[in-house]
Amino acid sequence: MKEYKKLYPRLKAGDYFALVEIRNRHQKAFVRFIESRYQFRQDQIEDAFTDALIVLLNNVQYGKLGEKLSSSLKTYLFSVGRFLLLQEHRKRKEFIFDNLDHYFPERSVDPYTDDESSLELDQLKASFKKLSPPCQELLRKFYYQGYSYEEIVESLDYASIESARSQRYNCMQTLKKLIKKEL
Amino acid sequence: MKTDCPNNNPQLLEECIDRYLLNRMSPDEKADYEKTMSTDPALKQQVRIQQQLIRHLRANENASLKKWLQNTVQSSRSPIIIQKRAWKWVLPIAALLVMALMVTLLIPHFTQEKNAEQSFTQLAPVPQNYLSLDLRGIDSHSLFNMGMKFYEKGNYDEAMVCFNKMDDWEAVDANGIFYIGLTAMLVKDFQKAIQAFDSVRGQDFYFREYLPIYDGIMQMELGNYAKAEESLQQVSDGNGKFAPLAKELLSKLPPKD
Repeated sequence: MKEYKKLYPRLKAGDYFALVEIRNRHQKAFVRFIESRYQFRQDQIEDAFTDALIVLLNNVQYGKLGEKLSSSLKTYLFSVGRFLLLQEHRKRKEFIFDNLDHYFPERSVDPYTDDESSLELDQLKASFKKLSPPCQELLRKFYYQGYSYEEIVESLDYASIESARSQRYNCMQTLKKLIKKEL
Repeated sequence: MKTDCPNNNPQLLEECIDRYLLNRMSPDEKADYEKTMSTDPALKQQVRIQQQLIRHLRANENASLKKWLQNTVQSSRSPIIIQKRAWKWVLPIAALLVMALMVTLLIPHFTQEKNAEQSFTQLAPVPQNYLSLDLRGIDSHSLFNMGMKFYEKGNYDEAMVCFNKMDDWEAVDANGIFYIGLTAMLVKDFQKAIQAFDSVRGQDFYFREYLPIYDGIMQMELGNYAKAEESLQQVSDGNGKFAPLAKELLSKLPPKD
């Protein structure tokens, strides 16, 4: 638990090298753990462990995991990794990170899961690439890294919160227009 | 508690939807917003669209991060994850292992000539002819694409062979040159890496975030501790995502005379 507490601020800040360190520390043991119980290839096991690291990062950044974990970091990662491996054949990889509700104790039930919209990941990906780099960075920080407007002003040198807010809105409008063109 | 979400202002409306979807509303505010949504199909639809956009944005970023993690960890050559003192031991040990492997490969070559080629093929981690590819006559753009394929598989030496054969870097955009620099850094060709990074400096927010930390690490590896300190201090003061790493590296710099 000390390990997680020490790494928490780095994960919260989006320091990806913290994930590399965790991986170097625990992945081999995870491979041995899985190989002794199931029949998966090593690359599949390593792949699942990488996914587990990303789940950890997402949960910290979106506030689903706080400064304290109820188990050790190793136990947490092994549980998530094993779950992902066993689900591998049932779920599309792109959405795997959104389907781990039982690892998100604080997550409320989403009343709008009956999504009928037809946007595909590839369309978003293609459109996102066409955005200007500052727009990409702004949306990445706001929606992925969970930055507040105050943090965005500080890290991306915007003149004020107002300008960051209107820039985010403009970038989203541009993205929506680009997606419409892709459809 | 009533939410302050006017539906006559598109920007404020979207900000409210964001606050709802990003869990930034208080429980009361959230309950109130859900109640409004249940009686407003247009709002409900807008929330759905925004929710899907956010999911896809996150999935897209996760896919990029996964690729980066796989490349970084599989190479095990990153100067970032190997501390300087440890590196001094890694090289001699690696050299001994390579010699031991060569002896293991050569003994059956002399004793069982028929099986030698087969044994080598089984043991070699990458096809042995990659480094002697005849790349003459291939244009720079194709060389770059070939190099990126090696890069994506974590075969950085082979990627660098392709990049080094490019006549000019104008065949690729700034993002491409950034990857050439990154590959050069991973194979410890720091002069080439610095040359590539210098040519894209200031062109992209993305580079602005990564280049200072790379500068610091490379200057550390080159033993230019004053320059390393300057770059790392800049990252540390910036409070960006690499600030904790920069602080850690700063603490590892040798004391000044």
